[in-house]
Amino acid sequence: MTIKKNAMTIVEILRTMVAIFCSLLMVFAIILLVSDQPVSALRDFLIGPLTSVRRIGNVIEAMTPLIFTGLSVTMLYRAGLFNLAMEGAFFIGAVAATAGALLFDLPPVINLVVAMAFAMIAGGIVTFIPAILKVKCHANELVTSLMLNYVCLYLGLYIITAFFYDPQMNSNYSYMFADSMVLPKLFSKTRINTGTIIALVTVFVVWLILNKTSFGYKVTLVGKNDNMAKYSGIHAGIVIIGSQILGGMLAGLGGSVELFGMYQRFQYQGLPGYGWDGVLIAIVARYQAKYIPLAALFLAYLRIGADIMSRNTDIPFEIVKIIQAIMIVLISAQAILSKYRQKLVVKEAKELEEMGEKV
Amino acid sequence: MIDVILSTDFFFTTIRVMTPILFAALACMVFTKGGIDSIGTEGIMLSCALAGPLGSYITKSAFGGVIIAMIIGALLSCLFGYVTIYLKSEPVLAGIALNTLASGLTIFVIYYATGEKGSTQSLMSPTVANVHIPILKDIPILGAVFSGHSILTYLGIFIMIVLAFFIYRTPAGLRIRSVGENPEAAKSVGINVIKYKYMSLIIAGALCGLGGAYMSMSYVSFFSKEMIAGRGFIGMAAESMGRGTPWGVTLSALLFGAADSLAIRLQLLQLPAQLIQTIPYVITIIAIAVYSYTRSKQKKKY
Repeated sequence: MTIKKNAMTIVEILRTMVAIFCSLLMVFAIILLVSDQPVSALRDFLIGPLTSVRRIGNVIEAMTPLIFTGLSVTMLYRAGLFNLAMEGAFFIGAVAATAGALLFDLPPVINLVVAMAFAMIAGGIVTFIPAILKVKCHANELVTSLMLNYVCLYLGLYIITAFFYDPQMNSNYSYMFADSMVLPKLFSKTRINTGTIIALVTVFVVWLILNKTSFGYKVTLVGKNDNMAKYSGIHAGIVIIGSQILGGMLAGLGGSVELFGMYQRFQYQGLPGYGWDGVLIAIVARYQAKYIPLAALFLAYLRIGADIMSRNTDIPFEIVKIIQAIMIVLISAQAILSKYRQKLVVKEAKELEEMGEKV
Repeated sequence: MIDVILSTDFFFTTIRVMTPILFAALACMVFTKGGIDSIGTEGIMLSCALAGPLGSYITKSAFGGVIIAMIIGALLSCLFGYVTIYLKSEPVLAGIALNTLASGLTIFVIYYATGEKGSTQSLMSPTVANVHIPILKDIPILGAVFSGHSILTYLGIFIMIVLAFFIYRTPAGLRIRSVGENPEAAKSVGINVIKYKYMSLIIAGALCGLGGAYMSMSYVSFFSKEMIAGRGFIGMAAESMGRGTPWGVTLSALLFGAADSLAIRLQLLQLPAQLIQTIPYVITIIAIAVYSYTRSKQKKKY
């Protein structure tokens, strides 16, 4: 068993590398084809984010929400469900955090904690709905969660306009938060804030839950083989619901951290899309919590690079989405390198056989 | 309040906003019948919404634009098929990838085609005409509701009837369904699984093409970014809620249209529009839950 797993892991890592390489290659080809200044475009894209402290800061800032949604997707998918409500959970998390920040007048740090707790609870409720419908009614979580995202969007916008709308603003923005609600900045010249530290601590906590607790073990087992888990006495339903709630809480927390780290008031007008990004982050990290920051850093770097490139040259920022799409497909393509995997498995099996003969 | 809702305007708008959802839902129905995951519908429609105006600009005819949108839809759909069938990508992930690709690529393409990043408004491309149906248009209330829609709307209803016949009354339809329901069994009786998978991919892709073209050539007269705005997903839901039958799917699409139209009307009454907008989604979630629950109960009995 362990041998087979080794070969699988090697192939998966290789496939991820190949996918990243191929998608970047294709994008370079596109840039060379359509750009009038391909050299400066490529330079901006590849090393642009490293050229100033502010830009490095931008990468870290962009990484922070991605870590949360990457963790969220990891938690949601580990249990084998395609629950896509993390997008709505992130958004509702930000709405709930706004409510928490504006409704109470508690001592500074406590108010911040309360607002974030609100966000986590709200996020957890969102992902709980497709989960309970899946477990109790066998409803397809994919469709219910997609619909739920729109409920979150409109309900969230309603809550903001009905209760927290600042009439002095033209758009549906909320009132400004008190200064004490803004997460402190860590470095001058950048907007890097304590939110990044919260994100990294969260990574550690999720890693602990998934790898060092029996709950985490059960989640993985249920995700891999529902029936086997059932026969070994695990309540698959409870495990699924627990993991989905946790996943939503992570996304909700992400929404609040992003809100208090980067904004002074609630100003989303649509779903921000971090949830969908989380899917890419999670599959690049192969659903391992410890690799999530790396994957998030990678996507954040691409984003900032593309942003710099789009401002200086004729390549639009949206090229990042093309990279994302190619990467998702190639990494998840089981057929790529499948022959190589076969070879590895056979080779290792033979080695094992020989070892057995010697003994 | 009732008179604001129960106006001919309301029913006219319902049909108008229902049309793209109907196409999406029919596409999802064909995908699902062929055993293919339909989450990519959103992205295919978005790409086709761009292909339509660009095509009609190049061919200088709305008809050309619609055909090109259908071809692009079929091609993208086949690409999705290739990735999931041959490269064995997880279909849900491949669908998410397709949606991501479409939202990036469309902006990329319009930027190079028009120099703008938001829309193709500057192209002034030909659009699909609205038609008034003789006789019907002169009948008092019915005329105001059912006449004067886009050609594509009438085409959509026609296609729905054709599909109902095709899927349930023809050998090819039967084979598509058998391939979708149990590919192994279909293979064992000599059905070419791949061929019928691609047949449903092409039909569904072309339907997405019509839905996308309707959005940018009829609903409004140009492409603007992210203009599908979840209608592909709603199509998936309508397919689920309509239990995969053409009439059920159409009724579900109509329900979404009515809810959307209601939201538009209620905005006139100063009611919280955003709350009203959640209604169709909430109804869908409940309907899917109830349907799935009763079906799983039935399965247990046997």
